[in-house]
Amino acid sequence: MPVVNIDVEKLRRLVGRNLTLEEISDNLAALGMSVEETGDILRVEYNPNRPDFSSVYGVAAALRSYLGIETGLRKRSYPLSGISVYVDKSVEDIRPHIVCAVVRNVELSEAELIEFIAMQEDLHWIIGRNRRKTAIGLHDISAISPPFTYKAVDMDEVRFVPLKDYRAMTPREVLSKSEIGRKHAWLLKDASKAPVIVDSRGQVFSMPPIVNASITELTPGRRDIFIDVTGTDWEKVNQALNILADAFADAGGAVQRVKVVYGRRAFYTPDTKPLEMTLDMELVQRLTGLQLSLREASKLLRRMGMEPRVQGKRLRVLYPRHRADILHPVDLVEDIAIAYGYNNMTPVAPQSNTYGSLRPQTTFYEKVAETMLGLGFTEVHNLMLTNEQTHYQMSGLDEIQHVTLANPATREYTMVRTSLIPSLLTTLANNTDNLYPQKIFELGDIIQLEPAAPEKTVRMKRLAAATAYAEAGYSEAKSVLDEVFKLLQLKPEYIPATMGTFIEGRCAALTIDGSQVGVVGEVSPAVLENFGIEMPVTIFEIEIDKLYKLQQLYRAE
Amino acid sequence: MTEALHWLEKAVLRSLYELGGAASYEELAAKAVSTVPGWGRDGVSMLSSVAKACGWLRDKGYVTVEEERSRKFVTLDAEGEEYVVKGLPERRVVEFLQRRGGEASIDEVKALERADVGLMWARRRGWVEFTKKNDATMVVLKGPVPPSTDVEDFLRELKRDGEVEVPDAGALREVVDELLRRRHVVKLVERPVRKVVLTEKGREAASLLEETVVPEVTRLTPELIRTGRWRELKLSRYDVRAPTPPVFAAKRHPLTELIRMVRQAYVEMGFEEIEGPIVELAFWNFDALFQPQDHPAREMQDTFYLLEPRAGDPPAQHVEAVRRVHENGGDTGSKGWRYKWSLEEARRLLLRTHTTATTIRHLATVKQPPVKVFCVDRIFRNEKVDWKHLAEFHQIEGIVVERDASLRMLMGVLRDFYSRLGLREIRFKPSYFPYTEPSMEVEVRLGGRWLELGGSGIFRPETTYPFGVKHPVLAWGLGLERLAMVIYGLEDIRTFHLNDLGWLRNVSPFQAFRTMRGM
Repeated sequence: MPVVNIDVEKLRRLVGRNLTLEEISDNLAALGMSVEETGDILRVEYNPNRPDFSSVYGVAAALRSYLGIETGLRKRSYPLSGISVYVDKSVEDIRPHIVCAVVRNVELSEAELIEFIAMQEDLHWIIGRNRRKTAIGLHDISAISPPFTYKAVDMDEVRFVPLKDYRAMTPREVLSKSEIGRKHAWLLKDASKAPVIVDSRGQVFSMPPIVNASITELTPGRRDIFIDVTGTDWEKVNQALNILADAFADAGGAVQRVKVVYGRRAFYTPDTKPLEMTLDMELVQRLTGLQLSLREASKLLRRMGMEPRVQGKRLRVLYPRHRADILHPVDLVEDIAIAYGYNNMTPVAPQSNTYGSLRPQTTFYEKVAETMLGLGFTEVHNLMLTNEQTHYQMSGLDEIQHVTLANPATREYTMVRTSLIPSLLTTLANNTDNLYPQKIFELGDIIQLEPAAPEKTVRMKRLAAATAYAEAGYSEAKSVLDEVFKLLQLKPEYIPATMGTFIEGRCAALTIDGSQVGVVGEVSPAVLENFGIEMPVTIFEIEIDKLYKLQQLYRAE
Repeated sequence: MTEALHWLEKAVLRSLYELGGAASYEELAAKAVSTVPGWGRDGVSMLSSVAKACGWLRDKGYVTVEEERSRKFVTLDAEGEEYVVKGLPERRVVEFLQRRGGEASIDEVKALERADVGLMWARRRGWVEFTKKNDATMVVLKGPVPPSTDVEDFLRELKRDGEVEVPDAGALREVVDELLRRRHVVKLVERPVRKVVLTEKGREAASLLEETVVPEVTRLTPELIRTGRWRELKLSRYDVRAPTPPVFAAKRHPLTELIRMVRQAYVEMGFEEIEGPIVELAFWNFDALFQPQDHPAREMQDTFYLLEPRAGDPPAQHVEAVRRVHENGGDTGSKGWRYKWSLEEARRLLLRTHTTATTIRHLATVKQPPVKVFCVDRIFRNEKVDWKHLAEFHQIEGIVVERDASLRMLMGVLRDFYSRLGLREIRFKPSYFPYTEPSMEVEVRLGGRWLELGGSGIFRPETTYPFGVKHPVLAWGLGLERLAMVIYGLEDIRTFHLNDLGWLRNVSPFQAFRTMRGM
């Protein structure tokens, strides 16, 4: 979850109430945020569907309306700046959208500047998906002269000094030589041209989504700022711009609109015209379970910063443009529920009468586990994730087709197990310091390849048990198996078998009606050595889901 | 009052008292036969028991054990054993000559076993002499040969008694010396002689003892029961407080214990258990749940995609409806995500990241309410593993489909569920998931703090409509391990799959029950 750092004093000032820390914490929780660390600066987690919470300004705005200080849709009408940005056709295939704003006369302390840069980075992540969908540039406007042009240039066509550097570079050099350029180069890896914004003198001041030019670098003080937001998604660039512009306005800046000209079409951004959606009261009542009147629902929506208008039995709800998370009336219902307060609702019980049941397999496996307990085996639980080294090389199993992972974060997990035997050996290896005898079992899943299944695989349940102590031997393991099968009312045959895991001549395959259902044997000392186990070990593994099916079959007969 | 004494100690103490306060082990063993009626059927084991009891008594201060001098004993060696059976070699020579009428050639005699030794000793004893006859050397009997010698008598005695003490001088000493010169006939054993002496404390204790001591046994053997001999014996008292070696009850894994409690709660609440694939299609794991294809949760760093097998077959009958809902909201009244949906992306195989993939599969088959199903099963996230993160863990999943299902009912179901586990304090917080709206985070109070246990909500129409479900669906996916960590007081989440038997053997199966019921 994204995190925003909030200066408590500033929040109190912006909200206009001297809230206690507890009140702040409770109200933020009611809005879906959680305070992770308290102090003068709060560390607050928020949900990614509310990027407007990425600054103290957005959080304060939400609190003001939630607390009833200033409810309804906030009036945001920004005057024109007189500045235009011309969009060249050449960006169409690379990064087609740009929206801009100007902020005049905003006083930024060093701390506030850091705040805005942190906000910018958060928006890059949450809305921009790491700058891919949207990237934001903040510029000191004093160094550049409008109008501006957004265009794509050849990689070696222009030169500028990128931010945090002193050398003039071409876009190609920026991507390969500058620190910031290298970090974000992947964003343009398929592009043959580089998008840039140039001023009326042809001076490059931005190369979105990679880096700004150093000439427009922002420093603390009273400033005039130019904001550019470029991207691949029209709605998202607008969302990011509006959130930023509103935050600057709340920080004391005078936000002005910029004319963005696409050939013969022109827009003025930020576009603050609210969005609207019709909400049926029946849906509100059904989903919340609250018998709310139109008036009550309207009041609640106003506390979420929206403007409802009653239309018969419905509400026409105006909401700010940055609420891109609202796709469907159910999203407005959630806002009503949040305003009502989740913990103010009285829980109710389901009305329908249903009968509970376990899967018959679960009941069967529980009986099997009970049997193993009766035989003195303790249950262990292992992961299905493993690697070829442990699963095959160390345990002596023959490699069979298995699920392999495309992108594991650790080299420890590269595949999904096909047998429980390596799992039990690993468990014994983890326990060489504990008292013997050790008798353990696992009832766990494995995955096998199955080309006929839509998922190309099938999960299977296995039972495996291991015995480790000085006297552990084949005959004891077979006695245990005999007992298990006796209780299952099945008669297996023990067929001599050869497996790398087991000592030659001390390994058997178990079959029922000619079909293999398991293996048993004394683990070979070479394998024990691989796992660092210094006790004789016997292991058996049974395909317990096959036995479940066999039992069903015999019952049917 | 004297402390409790073992019956052997009593027997030794009493015997020693009667022997005047000082005696050797052997004397004590001999005396104990009368002190303890019915004991001492095998002298050897008696001697070692006496020695053992003397050791205990010495440690407790009843006797002192002094080492006096060492005594010498002889026992039969290998050739001695043979001579007892076959006779001395010289006796064999003589008997051979007697059978041959008093004489035989030297070659004939030499054919006998141990003939050289026999001839040497027979001549030395003056039993035979050599003569010449026709150039041949003959062995001839000479003089009277006694039917048995002191040496032969002694060997037989040694065979009978096992060992005989070597006297300092006399005829017997000469016999022993001769046998010691003849190699491998007898062995010399030196043994220290200990003298046991009563202390003051011992004398006082012994005077208070009964004259006879009843023998005690430690183990009640089947043989004692069968023969009835237990009647003659006393079964010794144990130190019932003494530490004993540990044994361990076989038990279920702590995580399983909790899973079983969860299952029971669900069944009590009328939920039916379901199961779904672990290797899942992106279609069911993401697309069916209205997660846009560029959603960060779908990226490689969060989800385990498969290299092999790479892609599967999404259900053809549902693909178009899901595509429409992503692209433009379909017939749900939603705006949709407004992008070009790719079937290829939906075909990708992965390890499911939540059990919600299993519930949406179930919804696609059962459309009419009421539905209440659950599962508790494994899920996977491509995370770096550390003390608070696992790449593979469990989720407690459930859904309710009902005509009047609402957010309040979702709260009711979750509150009921956790209260059945003994967790009565629960609260909810707004949250966000792409497939539910409204969405709630569930928090439960346990051990003095609020635990975030997972997400819940009402499935969005974009999630249910494509599968023909028009009624509200309450859904939740809750963490199992987080709850388990608090219940079992663990700091490291990896404990659950490390299976340290030290922990597994010590953790109580009553723990989950006790913690949650506040017992």
